[in-house]
Amino acid sequence: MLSIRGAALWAVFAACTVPSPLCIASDFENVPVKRAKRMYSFLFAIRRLAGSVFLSLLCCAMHAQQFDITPPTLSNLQFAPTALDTTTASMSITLTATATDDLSGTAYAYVEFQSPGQQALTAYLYPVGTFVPNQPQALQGTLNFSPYNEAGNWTVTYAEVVDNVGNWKYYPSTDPLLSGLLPLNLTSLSDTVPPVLKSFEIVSPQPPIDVSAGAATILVNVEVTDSGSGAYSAPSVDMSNSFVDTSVSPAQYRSQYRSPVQYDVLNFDTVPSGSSVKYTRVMWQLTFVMPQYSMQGNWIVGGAIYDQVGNYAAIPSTTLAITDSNQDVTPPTLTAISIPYYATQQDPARVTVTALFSDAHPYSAGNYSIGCSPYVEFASQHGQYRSAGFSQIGDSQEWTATVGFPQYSEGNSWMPTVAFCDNIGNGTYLTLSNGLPAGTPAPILFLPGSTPVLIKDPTQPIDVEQPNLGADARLQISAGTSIVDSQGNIIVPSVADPLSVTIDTYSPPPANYSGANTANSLYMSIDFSQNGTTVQAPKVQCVPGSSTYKGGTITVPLRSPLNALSPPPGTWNLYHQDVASNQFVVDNDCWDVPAQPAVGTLNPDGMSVTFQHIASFSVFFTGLRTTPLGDINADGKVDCTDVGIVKAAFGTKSGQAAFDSRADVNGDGVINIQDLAYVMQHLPAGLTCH
Amino acid sequence: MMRVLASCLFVVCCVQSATISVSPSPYNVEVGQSFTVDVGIDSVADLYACQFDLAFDPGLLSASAIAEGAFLGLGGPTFFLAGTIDNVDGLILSTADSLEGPVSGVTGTGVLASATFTALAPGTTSIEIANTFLIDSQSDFIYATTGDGTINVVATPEPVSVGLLLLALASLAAFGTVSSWTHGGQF
Repeated sequence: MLSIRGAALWAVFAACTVPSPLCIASDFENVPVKRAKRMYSFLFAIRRLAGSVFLSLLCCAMHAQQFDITPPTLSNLQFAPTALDTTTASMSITLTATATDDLSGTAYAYVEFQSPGQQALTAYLYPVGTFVPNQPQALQGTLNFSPYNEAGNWTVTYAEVVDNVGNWKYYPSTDPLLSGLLPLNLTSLSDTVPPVLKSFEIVSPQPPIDVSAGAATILVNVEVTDSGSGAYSAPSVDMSNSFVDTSVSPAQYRSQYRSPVQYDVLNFDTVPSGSSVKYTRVMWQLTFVMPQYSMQGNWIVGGAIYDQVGNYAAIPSTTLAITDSNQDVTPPTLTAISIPYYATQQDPARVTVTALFSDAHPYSAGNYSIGCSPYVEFASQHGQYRSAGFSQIGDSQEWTATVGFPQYSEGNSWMPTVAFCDNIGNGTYLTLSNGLPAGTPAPILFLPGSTPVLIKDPTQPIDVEQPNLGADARLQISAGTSIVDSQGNIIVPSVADPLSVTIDTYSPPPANYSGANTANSLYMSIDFSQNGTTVQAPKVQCVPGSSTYKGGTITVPLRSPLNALSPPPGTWNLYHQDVASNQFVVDNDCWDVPAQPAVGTLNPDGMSVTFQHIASFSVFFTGLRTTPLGDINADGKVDCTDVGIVKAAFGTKSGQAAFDSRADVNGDGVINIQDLAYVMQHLPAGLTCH
Repeated sequence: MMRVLASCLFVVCCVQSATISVSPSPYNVEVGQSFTVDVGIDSVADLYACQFDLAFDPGLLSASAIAEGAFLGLGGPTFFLAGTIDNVDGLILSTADSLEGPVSGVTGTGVLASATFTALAPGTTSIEIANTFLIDSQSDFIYATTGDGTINVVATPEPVSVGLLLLALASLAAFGTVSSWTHGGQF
């Protein structure tokens, strides 16, 4: 039970340091309106509005987000007409259906039709109208049939519906949705004869092709005739080579692949076909590039040719001899990868992956680039996939990829896959179980707006963890210490009137805040409510030196785990949002006399930092400082040089010529007394700069 | 019971919140007169640093200087930034003062700064305090109400009027002398 003396001490402490409607008498609202005043009022309003918007965003983020792991359902699939005659011109059918989804909404559905000879056509249906959760939504689409599609009954072989986060439901032809559908009866010119390969020739250079000194451009001619729908569909031709490399242990399968970089039509024959022409013969020329360092040996060249309705014939494989005294058959290696441990559901959430690649090939070392669209992909437990291609950072060996997770994406862990290759096409595909470094995180996508924990017994300590992050996002308050609102009222929980505690985490704060490295940080909020009413500007009782009132202990998460056995140098500071100014300020250890910034401890799992004796509660993040507080020029000491930097830029705003970001210690884009006082307060005792 | 006690103490605390204001106000000055007004702080606790702007009608007043007041210096060495005078828009921007080093703030009432103006033309203008930041030794904001100053600029008496005034004063002086003499004659 709180003593009267304790209550009085706490009340004075809380009331005089916590702003409230009573305390906040505006500088502006009660004075005559003039030009300058209007300007200031406007700026002040903007600042307040910005703060309100920020808080509103957090508020909305807390309550509006959910995960969607349920696919939509499809019903009432129909199409019309059920008979077409395309002997003179193409015609379409119209398909309609209804889909129902719970959260993210239906993205599309598709339906495959197959002819008696197994020509296949796919119709895509898209939503019309507005999506309403759990309400049927109309889908509509068309499917075009050409004069040469096979005549006869086309039946629906399967259908699939997909929502906006990638949940899908497959309907086989036996499903009642499809089994009751009549076939589409098609009358047409009916082309079921595949095209004919008249010639296939590697024109130049003549093999063997030596690429030891540089790349070779290889031209391949493919002549195709078709008496039905026509030959104007590009042939599919590729070159590949592979072998099992027993020079390494364990032996590795090595392969390289080339596809055309250009398609040209050299000459052709046509005949009239309605209002157009039909290509009865086409001579295609395909251009390949075989780069220096390519795998030597006999490459297999082959593929297929197609007519306009998908009838096809294989191109018999041939070989192409490549010689290269400097061949590179070794893929680059992944030397480091950084994947955030957490991501918070937003619209969209983003996960940025940074990877470092190196290539051991002696002829490309130091002068290589990853040339075949390296990418990272994440797979959820329920089969949702998200991916993004890597982009090189400058000319370095460092690559970065940012993967977006749309609203309602699945929660929990997303398994990463990293695929990359060198300029020659030697590729690697790494997963958590095959090649990614031990400890590579599978990021957790989780929701703000966590389930609150109810505190009913005021005599028991409070120990609340964020449901997804567990002990990495935690609040602990010892028994006998209470939470007080902005009015100084002590919040007393009971069974009938419990205290609700919610811990949420959000997106990362600015990477550098007030001179601290916050690149690995996350916003975390701790909110209290009782009777459905949020406790405004809550504080935890803390009286310097008191054996009872020591504030709270909070643990804030990091985005990516650190090596706790070899922690990075520096001091962990805690920043909290000042509810009146919306500025983030360094939290002091409320139990210390004189007051000093609270210093955090990196936890053994390397995933979070714990701070003791914290009195003010709002939104937090942590930062790692390697220089003393106030040392804005990072020379290891706080002195009049730091003060001079602030003085020189005093009164400026971001974008102005005299603005110096070093002086903007609170990162608000304005250099003012907050920044100056911050440096001043950290000057060594006795040092004066006036 | 505890809630009531805490709430009462809280109210007592906040009724005595700080006020930053311009004085004297209202202040009557003549055209052409140079005068000084103080920017004072009342009932502040643990003030470590402050910043404010002043806005005035540039058609009536012209600012010439702003100097540090004595109040913050009670807490130790200070670092004063006079700010920028803009007589076109009628502003004194970013005047700031801060204590230096890890010391406690100053509690009480006093003058933060003094601004010197010259009256340019007759009329009434306010000297408004804006963009105010008061910061305590824990880097927390201190909330304060503001009180603007009012300056009444009156016309300088014309030369003819001055002559008449001098004549009147001379007459009054002469009458007074006689009166005194008469009084003196009674003894």
